[in-house]
Amino acid sequence: MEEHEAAAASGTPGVDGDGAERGAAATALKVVAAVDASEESLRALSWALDNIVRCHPDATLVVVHAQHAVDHFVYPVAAHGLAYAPSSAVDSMRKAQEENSRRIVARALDMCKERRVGATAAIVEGDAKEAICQAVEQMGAGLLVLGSRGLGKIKRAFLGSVSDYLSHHACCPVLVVKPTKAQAK
Amino acid sequence: MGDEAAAAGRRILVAVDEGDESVQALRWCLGTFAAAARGDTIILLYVRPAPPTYSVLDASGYLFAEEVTAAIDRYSREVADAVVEKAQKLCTLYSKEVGEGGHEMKVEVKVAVGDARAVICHMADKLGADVLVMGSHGYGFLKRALLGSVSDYCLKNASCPVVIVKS
Repeated sequence: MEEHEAAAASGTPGVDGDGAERGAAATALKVVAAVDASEESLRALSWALDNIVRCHPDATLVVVHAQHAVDHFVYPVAAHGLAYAPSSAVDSMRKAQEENSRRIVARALDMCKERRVGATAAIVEGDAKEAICQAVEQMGAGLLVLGSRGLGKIKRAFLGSVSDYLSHHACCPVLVVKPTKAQAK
Repeated sequence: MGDEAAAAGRRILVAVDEGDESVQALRWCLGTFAAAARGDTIILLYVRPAPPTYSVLDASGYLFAEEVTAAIDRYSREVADAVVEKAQKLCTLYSKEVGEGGHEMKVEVKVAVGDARAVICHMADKLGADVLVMGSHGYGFLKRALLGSVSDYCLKNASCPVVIVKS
């Protein structure tokens, strides 16, 4: 059962985020997985599905995608003026963004469906780092799952800046899944 | 298709040290993350600093007598014992609290010597850990903005997924 909602301002964590976390297996773990167009984030989601959601049958999973905010474009004209991009251009940009987000989220949700996990999706707008950070806080997440880019040759020495930021600033434990050479399956 | 039997029993490596943050990480792990019923194993790893060695050529070799280095080493072992004992107590405490149907969390303890960052990453590999759980140090006023350098290093260099638990 998937819903598709834009969680721009209000994220209501309807689940029992009571804070009454006594007794291991009974806790409803709210797992938030951040996805983007990269393969690594999908691998992270896949790892989380296999190793976390499967072990916690009552865990809830939310797939979050941060979409770049489409601002009105202005460009300088003739050294003294500013021109706004025509609204049609902005609109088409916005549509392209939404289409992109929808595709990314659909791919993630498909993956969840394959493993028969019910997940909800949320799309947040804005700068990825901050938007996800805020979303996690609002949703009262118990765990944030991220992929991280092993940037080519600097393979194991560099985390993507979003994962880096979030591991410092998120309000909940952060799980970072890095690409390895032999990722099983 | 996932077969449940094969998925059972994750090996969760929890790096502990003298600070509170790793206790929090362990607590989180026991309370929320690990599932005893699934046969998860928690591996507690404490890395104690290597005893200082001084080369003959180095003048500092004359500053520390044998007894001092031995005393330092003995102290670091005592600290190791204390940390490990505390962590184990926490584990048994949780097992008792939950105590459903006799599912006890399997706990292993490892103490290693050397530079924490490198050793943790190495041990994660060697022990075949599925996931590494660590706390992060809040360095005073930089509290929420800085990950302890050990956890930072491990986040970047461990070959398995890493969970950082901030307090």
